[in-house]
Amino acid sequence: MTTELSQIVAKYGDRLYAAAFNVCRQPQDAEDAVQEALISFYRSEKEFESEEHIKAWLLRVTVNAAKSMCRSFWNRNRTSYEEHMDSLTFEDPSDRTLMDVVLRLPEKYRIVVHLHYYEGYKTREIAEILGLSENTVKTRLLQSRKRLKTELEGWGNE
Amino acid sequence: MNKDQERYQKSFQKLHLSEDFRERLDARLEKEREDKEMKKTTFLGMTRAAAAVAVCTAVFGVGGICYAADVGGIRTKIEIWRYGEKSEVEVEADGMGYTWTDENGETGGFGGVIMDENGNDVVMSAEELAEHMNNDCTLRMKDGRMILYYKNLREDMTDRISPEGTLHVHINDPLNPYTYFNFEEVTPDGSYHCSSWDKPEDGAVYIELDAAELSSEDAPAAERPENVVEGTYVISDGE
Repeated sequence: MTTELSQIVAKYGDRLYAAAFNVCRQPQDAEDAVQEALISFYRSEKEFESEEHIKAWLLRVTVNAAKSMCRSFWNRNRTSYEEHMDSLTFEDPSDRTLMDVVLRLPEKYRIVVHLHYYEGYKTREIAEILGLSENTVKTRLLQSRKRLKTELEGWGNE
Repeated sequence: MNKDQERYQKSFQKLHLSEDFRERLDARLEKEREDKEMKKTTFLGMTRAAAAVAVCTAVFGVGGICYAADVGGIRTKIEIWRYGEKSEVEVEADGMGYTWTDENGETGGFGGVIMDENGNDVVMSAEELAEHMNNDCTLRMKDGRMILYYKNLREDMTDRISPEGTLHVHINDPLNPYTYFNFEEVTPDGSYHCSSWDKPEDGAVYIELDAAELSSEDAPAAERPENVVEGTYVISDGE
């Protein structure tokens, strides 16, 4: 692995995996999506303006790859996200509940929620990454917030 | 960062790539590099075949490919192997390719592109073309026999070509990394397809030739063939 790619994996690997898992809800497919994104980065001759540019590009490619993985027939026969969550160690049970509630949201809501709450992107930035209109992102975020507020104690109280 | 974001991150930070992810990514990258190298090698093979055709055409002195000698451009001299003998030719850039003229006034054209590390096509220099032509292995029909040429080597391969029309030759030449030559579709009329590789094809049995052992003294004197075949092309003398 090149030094640059190794640094990219160290810096963004888990972040990309979290985004891919949010879309796929399946660990093997999520890792495959991350691998696809990193291979695309390796092949790419694109000139990036900044670290932030690299991160946004990688997230976009990862999310697209993860969506493709979800559509494949093979995906239907793999480990469920509930099984994978059972293998994770959550010290605080509310952390598991939160992940479970988010992963039960429809896919189009999940990734918007993830990019906002995990990556801290604003609606305009999410719209750019996902290739959606800003209004669509706002609507999806609003709907998701309502759902999360209903199911998660103390959510949206600020 | 608000409290909801903190809660969300705390939960999803439990997700990590598996321990063998890097190993699998390395394996994929290695395959990627091999595929890229394979493409490059195949492409060079095509370039060499095309260049060799130009050389043969010139041998027959087909008027149509003779270029004007007064075309502007930078002239340079290179050495190329033809029919087991080294010739010094004068080369002149001619748009995407080059024209060459040997000491006897025979002329021809050749050209080619090569992939760089980013996959871009780069026009080869005359020296690069000469190097690739000189690392090429060719078959020619002469007096009903199929003769193999490689640099100064000549070997009669007529009886060593399989009934299926394949011939695998490995030439021990430390100066050339692509010395596994796979000839396919060799036909009695002398046409064939050839590719060169840096490793043997799985299951193929190679005829071993050593550049140091074979010399021009062991082979017939170089003569201009009556019927020359290069690459996938057949060039006749018009009979």
